[in-house]
Amino acid sequence: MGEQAIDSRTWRLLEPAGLAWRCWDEDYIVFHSWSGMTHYLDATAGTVFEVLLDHAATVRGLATVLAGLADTPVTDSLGALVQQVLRRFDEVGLAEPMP
Amino acid sequence: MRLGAAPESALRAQFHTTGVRLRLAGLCVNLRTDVPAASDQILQMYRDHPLEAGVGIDDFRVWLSYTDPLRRFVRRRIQVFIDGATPFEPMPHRFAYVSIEGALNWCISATAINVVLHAAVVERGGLAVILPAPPGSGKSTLCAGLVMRGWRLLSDEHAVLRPADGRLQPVARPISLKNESIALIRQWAPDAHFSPVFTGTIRGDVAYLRPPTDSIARATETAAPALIVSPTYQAGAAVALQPLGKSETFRLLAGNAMNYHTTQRCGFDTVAGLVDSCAAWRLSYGTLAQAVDAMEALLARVQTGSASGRLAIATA
Amino acid sequence: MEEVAALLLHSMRDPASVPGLGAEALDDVLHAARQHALLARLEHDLAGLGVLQDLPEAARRQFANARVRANANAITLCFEIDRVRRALTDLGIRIVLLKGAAYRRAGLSVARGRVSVDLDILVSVADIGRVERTLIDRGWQAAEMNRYDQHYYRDWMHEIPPLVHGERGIELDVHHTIFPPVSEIRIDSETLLAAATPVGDGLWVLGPTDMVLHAAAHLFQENPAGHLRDLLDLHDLLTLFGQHAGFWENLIERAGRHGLGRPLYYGLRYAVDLAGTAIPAAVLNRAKALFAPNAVQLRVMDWLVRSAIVAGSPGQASAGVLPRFMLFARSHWIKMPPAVLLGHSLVKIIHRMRGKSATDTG
Repeated sequence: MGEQAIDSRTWRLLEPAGLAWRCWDEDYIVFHSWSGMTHYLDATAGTVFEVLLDHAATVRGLATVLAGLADTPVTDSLGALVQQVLRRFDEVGLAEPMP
Repeated sequence: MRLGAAPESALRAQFHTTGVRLRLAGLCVNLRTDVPAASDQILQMYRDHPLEAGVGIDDFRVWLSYTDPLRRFVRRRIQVFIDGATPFEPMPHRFAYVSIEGALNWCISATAINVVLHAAVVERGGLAVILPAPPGSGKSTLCAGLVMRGWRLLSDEHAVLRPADGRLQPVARPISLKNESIALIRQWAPDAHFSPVFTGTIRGDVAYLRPPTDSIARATETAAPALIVSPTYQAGAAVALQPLGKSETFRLLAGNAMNYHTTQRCGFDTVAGLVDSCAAWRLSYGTLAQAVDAMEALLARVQTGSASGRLAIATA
Repeated sequence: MEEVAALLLHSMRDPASVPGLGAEALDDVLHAARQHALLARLEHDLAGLGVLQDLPEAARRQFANARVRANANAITLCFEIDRVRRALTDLGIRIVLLKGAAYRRAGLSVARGRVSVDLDILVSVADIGRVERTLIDRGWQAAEMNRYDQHYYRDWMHEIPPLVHGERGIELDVHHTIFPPVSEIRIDSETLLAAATPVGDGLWVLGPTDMVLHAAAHLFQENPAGHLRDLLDLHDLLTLFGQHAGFWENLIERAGRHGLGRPLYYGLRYAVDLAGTAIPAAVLNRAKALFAPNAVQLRVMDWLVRSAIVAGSPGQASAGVLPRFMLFARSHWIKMPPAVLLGHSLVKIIHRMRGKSATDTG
């Protein structure tokens, strides 16, 4: 990926014990009991979610997984997309950067 | 004892004093009013409903009255209260019964244990069909059409799901119909009993259809959901049945729920369980007859265990 | 006081008496509790005593419903508090939670069974502009309001207009003072902020005396009719903080210095009278000597409070809380940004990594 500043922090799910979800086709519906909210994730956000369920990850790490699944190279755009997803997760209390 | 079997004068007096207690969807609602237009219609429309005798514990106390002493005589306005507070603006006196129905809608939706979806529910042959749709989609019309052709009415407004077993709790209240639907159903079912037509409401003309006595008699009999069918009416459209994806169905149900957020994890599990276990369809139709036929055909296929998948219904 | 009002008061003060009530009395208490948004609080106390199962099924059903509602509200409120914390954390300012949010965050028993529709916070007047801009930047929107209303809010009500988060819809009220600017009251926010108690994560609540004074002023500055809940809250606060050394002296002194003596006097008087709060006689006498109104005023207030703090028949003033979203509840959906990768049309991502079934739950 390019040299412009990317988020190098490690991200993790918030209060994962309170999560319940379904995956139908490639859509995810995630209930988060900590926030009481229900989230609708598309395939990309769902993949990020699945990775974070398994382990905390960086933007680079997540982009690499996505690229591997879609069989495309890791690019700046992909990194930017991942950052966008994580920012949204942060807003809704699904994930946060680790201190 | 049915409301209709009790001495009318005693009931009228009761409306003014201790209130008339109705059992609806497993709840007990106490209705008190000094507005004869309201009590008259309640006695008509809930004639076949069981009357709770004596004194007991009520889930809600509904009170409908004139907004102030003067309003009893001049430019009469009424307002409904539920346990001392009101979700509704004062209304012209002629909408007294409409206010009662609005208050009862509120009471049914106010549960936090059962999961209440905004949908009609009908049942036939032991299989219940949930008909979720936003307002104006024609679900009440279709619901009325089916019910007047022998389907059991659980509700035209509220799919009440019990989290413990996923079964549907009947409500069996009068079906509210609007505008053209009123004449349509009058034609469809000439023997049906309607309330007067209330003109000039926010939604236009509104009238209520009294449910068949059988639906009311079986109001304590829960039903297992088997199908989800989202109706879309469009004049002149060809009838078509298309499968709905599960995530789309979840969004449709939870997005049109009365208390999804209040029920938290339980709400999620109940709706997800429903989506997991039921096939879901979108039914487009142009005439009531088409829609009723399509529903009957769909139900027959489910009963004979036909594989789900694309189901093409030939246009008439 | 009316019979039902007395019955409700007695039930709230002595929940152990509830299982012994006859059906009619129990029905009256339940109705009155619903009317005053006290059902969940009563449920909590009955559950604590282990007597819920002694009640008829119809009563248990109502209590169960109230419990679920209160829990859902608590979750929502805590989440909202956390989002506000997260949004404002970089400003490095002191944010003081008020009322229900404060009680909840501080883990006070007064929070039990409470349903809060709003989140109220207090910040320094110097910070309010930055706070408003930051919140709006993070997705909060000013509630729709015309220019006159905005002026009313900003200038007289010492708040910025309520902010509603775009997606979640909880109303956030940001205050820079918390007492109405009437001539007798002479307290500024810097005083309140300086005396605040930290509750972690950069959040604060009012100090004990200020919490009590705020609750008392809130109750008696406005018409107390139907506000039994608020009186019971005051009872809880006085009972809790009354155990702290020096609390009563500080309370009297602070009330006197800042012109809050009258509402404090009423608060103490009616907490004792109606909620049975244990307050040392010396404290009551001092408050009376310093802050009581004349005998006539007092008699009027006695009558008003005793007859109206528990709302009577429908149509009278009531503090009954009805949810804002009536027939159509919001479902709190968030849609994630659509997947767009470079020039590709929607890329199908195959979940080879998942060996789990499609119906996993957490």
